[in-house]
Amino acid sequence: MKTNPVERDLVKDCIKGKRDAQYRLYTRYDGAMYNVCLRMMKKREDAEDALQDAFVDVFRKLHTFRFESTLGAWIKRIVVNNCLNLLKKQKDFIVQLENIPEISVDDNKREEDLDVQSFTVQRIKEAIQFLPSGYRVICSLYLFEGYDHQEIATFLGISESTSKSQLHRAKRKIKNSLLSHG
Amino acid sequence: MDNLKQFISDHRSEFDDRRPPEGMWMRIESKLPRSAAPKIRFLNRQLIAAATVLLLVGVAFVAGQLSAKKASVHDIYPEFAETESYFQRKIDSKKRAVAVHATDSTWVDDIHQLEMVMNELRAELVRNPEASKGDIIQAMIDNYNIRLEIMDRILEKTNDKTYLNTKPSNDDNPE
Repeated sequence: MKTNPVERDLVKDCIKGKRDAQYRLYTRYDGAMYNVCLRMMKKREDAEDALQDAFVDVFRKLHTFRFESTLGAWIKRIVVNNCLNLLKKQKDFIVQLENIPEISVDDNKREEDLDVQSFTVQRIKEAIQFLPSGYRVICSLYLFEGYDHQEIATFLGISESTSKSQLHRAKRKIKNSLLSHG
Repeated sequence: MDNLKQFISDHRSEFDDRRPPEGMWMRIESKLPRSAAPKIRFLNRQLIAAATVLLLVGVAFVAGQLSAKKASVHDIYPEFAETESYFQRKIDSKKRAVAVHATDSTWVDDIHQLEMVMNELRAELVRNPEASKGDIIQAMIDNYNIRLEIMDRILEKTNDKTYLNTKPSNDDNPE
């Protein structure tokens, strides 16, 4: 993968412990990563804790970054893992992930598209924020962060089919929520 | 790609519209290894005294010159309020643990000295907010970190498992 030489120098300076470089790296990604945290954690305080822990981790592990992905993608994995570490301490999160029965692939195939006319940024944001934690996290990872079901399954320690079922149900809930506001 | 995912992708910047709080970098920085100043390796009263003198010399001329009512640090630098409350919770929690486990009370004087230095730094920031604001804020963060480090070293020496169990106190998890 081609890497931007400026980014490569920035990473090197961060590894040397140069504070100004670390601050520049932080400000390059802080907004995007904070929004990832907010969607996954829901509560602002939890999102801030996750963001803090994630960036401390980023600087601690930066020497292991091999430029095999983009720096942003590498940082996002650390952010997601820190969010999940905090969520897993919440008992109901695990219960939600485990207690949802799987649905057949046919059900997935029959899934109808949501009505684009009902979409607004604000309505979708609200619909996702009101989802139970398990659904919300899978929606965030799939719809926003671009992970596939195999990656989500690995992140969460669940099967791919559970990930698919959860997404399907979450989208149905989002649809209902959008229709009720329509 | 389904149409919801497509819509989100097309409007991504509108979804990512929130900014982290201003004090966030300070919180992160406080957990990173120091870039310039060497870490305190052990509790050393002389070292603390020297640090105290240095810091006091820098701000001593403002001592006693403050009028009773002035703007608070948080009026001048509101984003620092959250950082301070974060450190203060940690310090309060650790103080309670040290009070239980410390074998003597010399730490109380050490912490008290650093608290006095902090008051001077605070006063200087209020008196002269524009001049070297960044340096004073950094000195305040260093002050919090030194206090935490002193108490950590006491707790490490006690080697008490009870402390480890009580470490993730509710005080560290604000609701």
